[in-house]
Amino acid sequence: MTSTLLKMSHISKSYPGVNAVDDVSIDLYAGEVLGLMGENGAGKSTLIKLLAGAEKIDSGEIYIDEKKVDINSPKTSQENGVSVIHQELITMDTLSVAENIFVGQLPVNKVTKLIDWKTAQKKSTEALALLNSEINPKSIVASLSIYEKQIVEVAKAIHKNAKIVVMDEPTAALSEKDSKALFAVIKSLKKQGVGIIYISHRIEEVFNISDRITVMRDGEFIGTKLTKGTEQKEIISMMIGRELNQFFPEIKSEKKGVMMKVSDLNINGIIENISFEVKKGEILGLFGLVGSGCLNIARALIGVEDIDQGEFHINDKKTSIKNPKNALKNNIGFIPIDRKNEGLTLDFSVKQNLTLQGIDKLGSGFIISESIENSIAEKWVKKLDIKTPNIEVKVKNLSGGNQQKIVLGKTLETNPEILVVVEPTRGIDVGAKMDIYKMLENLCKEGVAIVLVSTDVPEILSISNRVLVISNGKIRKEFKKGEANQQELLYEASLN
Amino acid sequence: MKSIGNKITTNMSLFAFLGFLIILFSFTSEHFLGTYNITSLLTNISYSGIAAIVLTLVMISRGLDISIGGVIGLTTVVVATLYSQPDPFPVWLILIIGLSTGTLVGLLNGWCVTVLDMDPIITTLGTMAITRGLAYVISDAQSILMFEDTTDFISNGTIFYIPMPIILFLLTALIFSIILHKSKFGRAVYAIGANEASAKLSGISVKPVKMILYVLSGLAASVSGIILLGQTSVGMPQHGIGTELEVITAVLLGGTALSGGKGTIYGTIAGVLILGVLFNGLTISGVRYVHLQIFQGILLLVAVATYEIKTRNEVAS
Amino acid sequence: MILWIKKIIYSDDIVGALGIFLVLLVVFFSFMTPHFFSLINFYSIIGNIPAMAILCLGLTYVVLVGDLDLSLGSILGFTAILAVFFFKVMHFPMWLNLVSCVIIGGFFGAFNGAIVTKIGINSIITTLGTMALIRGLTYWIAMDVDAMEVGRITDPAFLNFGRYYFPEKSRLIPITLVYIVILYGASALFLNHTSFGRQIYAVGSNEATARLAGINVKRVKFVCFIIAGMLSAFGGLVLVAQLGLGEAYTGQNMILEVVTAVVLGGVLLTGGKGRLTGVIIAVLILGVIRNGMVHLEQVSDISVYWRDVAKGVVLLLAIGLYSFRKSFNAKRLRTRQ
Repeated sequence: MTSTLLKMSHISKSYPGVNAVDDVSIDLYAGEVLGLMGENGAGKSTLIKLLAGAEKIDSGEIYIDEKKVDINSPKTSQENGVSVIHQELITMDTLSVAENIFVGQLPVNKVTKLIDWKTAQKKSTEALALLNSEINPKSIVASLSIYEKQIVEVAKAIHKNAKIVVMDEPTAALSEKDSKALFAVIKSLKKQGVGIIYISHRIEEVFNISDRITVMRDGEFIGTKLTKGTEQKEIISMMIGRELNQFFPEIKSEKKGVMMKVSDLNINGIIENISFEVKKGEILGLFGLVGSGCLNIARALIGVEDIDQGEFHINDKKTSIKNPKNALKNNIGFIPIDRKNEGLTLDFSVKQNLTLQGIDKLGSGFIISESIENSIAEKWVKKLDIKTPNIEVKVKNLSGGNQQKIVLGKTLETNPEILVVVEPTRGIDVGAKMDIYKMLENLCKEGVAIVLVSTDVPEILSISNRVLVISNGKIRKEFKKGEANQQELLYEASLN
Repeated sequence: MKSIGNKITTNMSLFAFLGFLIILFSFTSEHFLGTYNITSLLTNISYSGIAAIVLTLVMISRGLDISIGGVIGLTTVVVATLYSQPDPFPVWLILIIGLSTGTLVGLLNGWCVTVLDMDPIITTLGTMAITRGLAYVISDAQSILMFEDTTDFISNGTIFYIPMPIILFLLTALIFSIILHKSKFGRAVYAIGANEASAKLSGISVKPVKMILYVLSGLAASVSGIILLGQTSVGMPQHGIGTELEVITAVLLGGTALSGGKGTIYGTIAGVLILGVLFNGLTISGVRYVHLQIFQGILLLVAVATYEIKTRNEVAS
Repeated sequence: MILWIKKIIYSDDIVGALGIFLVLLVVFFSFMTPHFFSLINFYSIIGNIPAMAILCLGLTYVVLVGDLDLSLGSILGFTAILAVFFFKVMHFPMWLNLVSCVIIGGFFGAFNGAIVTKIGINSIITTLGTMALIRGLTYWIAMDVDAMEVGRITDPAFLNFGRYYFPEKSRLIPITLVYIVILYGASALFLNHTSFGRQIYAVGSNEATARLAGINVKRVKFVCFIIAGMLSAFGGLVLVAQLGLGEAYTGQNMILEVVTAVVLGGVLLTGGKGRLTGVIIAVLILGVIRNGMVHLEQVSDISVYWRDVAKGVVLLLAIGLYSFRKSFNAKRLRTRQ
């Protein structure tokens, strides 16, 4: 009966309207890799935020080395040996590797009070060697590859004597070769008794590297299994809970024909030979996990991503999509992935946001017609059932679901023929979700071609007519409606 | 509702402060409320006010223009020099050239900030030096007298007893108030300042809008320069020194945030009035110019600090 | 050739490029004018840069940490007046004069630092305000105190502070050069080899990460502003000693050149990167340009005032170049999502 390194016991955390983490208990042993799996919204990132001290626990306890600890800030979390390697690296790019590893704690010569660079470099080299890396500690971090930057972060964690290292989607931006190297690093960490929590959507990887796997779903703890002896499909079943069919019936559209054709889309090193068609009145799902290249494709469709190669044909006419304004002119509407920072102007009112994409239509001349603005705003508030005290309220005061409806209304106001929708229901309540689905359904009936990019498996399976599975920057497989169940979809996308 | 409420309170307290100052100075000096002083006061306000109003738009879009003072000096020198040539161009042409000066500088500023993606502060710091330097070069550091009917009328003439500069100021305020608060362009300006990424994704042409703002700012500075030229009847390279600070202070005082997305023309008008009344009142009460500079610095710091603390309280609640 | 130029422009180390540019400038002016390339002239150039160089050093501290300080010229001006005041009115002995001025310079720096860190106002606006405030104070003291009508300091010891040469007989090395060497050298040691110095770079590089690592960001910034203030005061003392004169307008237009030199010298405006070697070469470049243009004016018909225009142009070119490099680098770093 070995003692636990980390024990998170009956942890709960809720935000207004949402139970992000609901009575979750997990444990971690020294020298083990615990895979933490779950879909988007399952509560994994919130759980880690609590462990890292970025947010405060509502209820529950955390024990490290069997002793209760009070983690109320990032500092206390670090002092207790927790280190998180985030997806977005927070390295100090203008400084050297050694400085990043030793930030705030550079070794100082006792006599001269000057920095002992030799020791810093030597210790850095040692830490890096433990990670099978030969990066020169004097190199400036800005010149390193993403993998090397990650290694620097890991070395920093080791140097801080981290006992618990959390890795959040570490291979998302790595090549196969680098991923393998990372696994070797993880194995060495294990040998030193470090406990690792490995968060990833890539099921093969998790099975490759982990000793046990914990699954979360909808903020709840579902179960923990020993990796050896468990089937991948079993884990996937645990991740997926909801029944599908009662939600979304088959959508039949009036219009026919191909709306848009994408040919040989290429971005060097990122996506390769992406070709597909979207028909009028069809919902084409693009399903890909973190780092698959799905978002790059979506961005190319909106005109935000510079492509190296590729052609777009809209209504059989060759078109180029150079920037968002261009895309809008070609009747492409969109819901961006980050509704707060890209989809909305938080300080603007409801009506100002709803009319932002179609400012030109707010009256014939130079002046904005308040009556047209008001009527447009009221129209969408009614059509999408947006819950707001009035149309003058600042958008930042509304709930996520209503905010997303505003993003939708804003783009629909421009009467798009093609709609690119990215993670439309992330972080919003069930009621708002349904409203959005109904709206998409209506749009299909009117003949709009919809490209749906989502990592929400039930969602994408239910409402898409077809689903393209994207992985490693390429299209892996195509499923027609009903051809795949949730397990198969997630499995395909998790493969390399 | 709340946002309108906030706007009223900020502007109301500004105008209340203004009222307080007016009452104060009417006691400290007997000349303060006299016609001559009020006319003089309002004319001075108009001079910097025109540039302030346009700068408001620039700052709402999260930009800045420090080159205003340099453009003023350069414009006065260019116009005065052209006029003193042996066979001068017709006045209307000279004035157009004068206005073009600021416009061209604005184009340079705009180009650097939009196309080359240079930092607006450093850019306009550079063009400030360039315009100031060119003013010295062209005038050879000499003052150039210019007595001329048209510019005289622009600066000293009256329409229905109201001095021209004031009319120009009110006109500018009216026009830009409509542009900023009621037009599609104005909506775009606010959008860019509040969240440039969202604005771009909403199809707003960010670069052209910013370019236009900088050009307008340069043009407005030239207009201020011509008014100043008419008032002083002399073109000097030293004209406009310190005006950029005055104008920025007025705009910040009026509630425009340096971080963009917030600000009103009414606020800027209040800011310009407060600053103008403050300076005029202090001067006429015997306070010397150097002390005014101190006041200006303090006022700037206090105003910005107050808004900063207020915003922080709003976010916290 | 183009490839070689591109390599230098895109490379991370700007110091080499700056050095080459300096050499090119010297060559240019030596050819274009007869008296540029002479020992006397070089001494003249070096004689004109100390105050600038010291202020640039001060500004570097603030920029490294991610902020900007536009009030340094005003602090220098205030110090000039203060030094005269201490000399004429208070009859301070020289050492007391020097020390008090530097301390008061530090006080102004602390004022800036407090507003930026405690109240949280953007440093540009803050120092714009204090720039006016301090300049106003300077004029006030200069005009209100009768003895200040002529701002001369005649104490020979004080003047020597700025004018002395080593060794006595051959007058080879000006003492101001020694100041620069000592201050820059000490700063290089401080910034590159002490814990606090590296914290300055850390805060400038990534403030959030620095905070997470336990660095007291506010304290680091506060100290940098104080150092800048003290150095500006010191620069003011040197200038007054050199001129023998301290007037209210001293240093009024300096800040532009100071910012130009720091930007040109490769100190990143966003913080966390910059070498003192680059800054000092940039100071020399600006000094050479200024001096060279004086010579050009003598042999040709160019107006004296083109110098100011040149300063502005150099600033625009410098920041333009760095912006160009920045956008080029950004494109290389895309990832798959």
